[in-house]
Amino acid sequence: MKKLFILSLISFIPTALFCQSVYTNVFEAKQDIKKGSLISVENVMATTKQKQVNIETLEEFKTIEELFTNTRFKLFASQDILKGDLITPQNTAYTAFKKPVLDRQIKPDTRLYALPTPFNAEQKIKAVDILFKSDGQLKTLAANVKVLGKRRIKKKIIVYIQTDPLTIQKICSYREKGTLAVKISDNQSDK
Amino acid sequence: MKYMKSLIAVLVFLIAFVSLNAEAVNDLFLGQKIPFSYRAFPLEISAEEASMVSAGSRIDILMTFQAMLKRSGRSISQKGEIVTVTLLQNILVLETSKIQNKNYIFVNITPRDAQYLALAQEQTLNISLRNPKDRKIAPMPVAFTED
Repeated sequence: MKKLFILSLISFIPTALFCQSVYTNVFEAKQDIKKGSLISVENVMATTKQKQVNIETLEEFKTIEELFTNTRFKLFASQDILKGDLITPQNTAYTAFKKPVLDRQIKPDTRLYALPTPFNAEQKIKAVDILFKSDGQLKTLAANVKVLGKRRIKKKIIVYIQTDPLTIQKICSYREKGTLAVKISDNQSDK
Repeated sequence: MKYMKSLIAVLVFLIAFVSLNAEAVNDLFLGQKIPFSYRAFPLEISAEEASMVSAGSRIDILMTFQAMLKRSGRSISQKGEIVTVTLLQNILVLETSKIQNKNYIFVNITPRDAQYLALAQEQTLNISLRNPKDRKIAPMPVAFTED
């Protein structure tokens, strides 16, 4: 009975070690990186040194690995890093990257679509009307479409609209056909 | 009661194994993330689309193209109409990447869907984001521009 218990425990330990060491990546500088520079795939590479690193250190590296796979963060060198040095929390710092996490807010049977607008960053936008310009006339494609978020990309304000899949298909068709006009809904109620 | 301790030990082992593997999934290289019988397909997307997706997102892929449509009471126009179809639904994004200022996502699709997507790349492709818990796949009508 005791033997079986001990055997189970013993079998657990190498499995835990194996899982950690196989799946965790460690990075090293493939060139000198100056303090304040962005850490990216351009200047670091995965290294084979991971076998030398103990479990405690791997826990730290896990955060670093997240920064490469999860673009919600940007990683910078907090000090000069020499070619061959390991990338660690001690020689790096990361900042929050303004990538919105919106997918969990999307209601069932609706989709989120990114739409460029002429708005400025200060404007509060809860809902928009989407119109199509044709022969000097405006045709409303969708009215009072809920906006879940906005972001500035390349000097343009992008709004993330939540609407049904068919309306999004329609918007795609009209975007291909010509120019869309987006205006803030008069009635800014949540749809 | 006799085997209770060993049963608990085995349970602890199983729970630890599963939780360790679940955490490890995020740390995999792209090749390791692809389930058996699936493929990772690179898809170029616009900067605004890239701003709303990340690894783990669920998306629909839409294709916009010109088509000759015959609708009731109307003749076929010579120029063709611009139509949009939902090509693939509930597709998992395995990874996002920016290469030479172009945004790419690697989507998890079957080899058959990869063939369709390779063909569709000659047309305009858009993506829409869905709630990751909303896995419903429904037949979608074609959307066209009305004259």
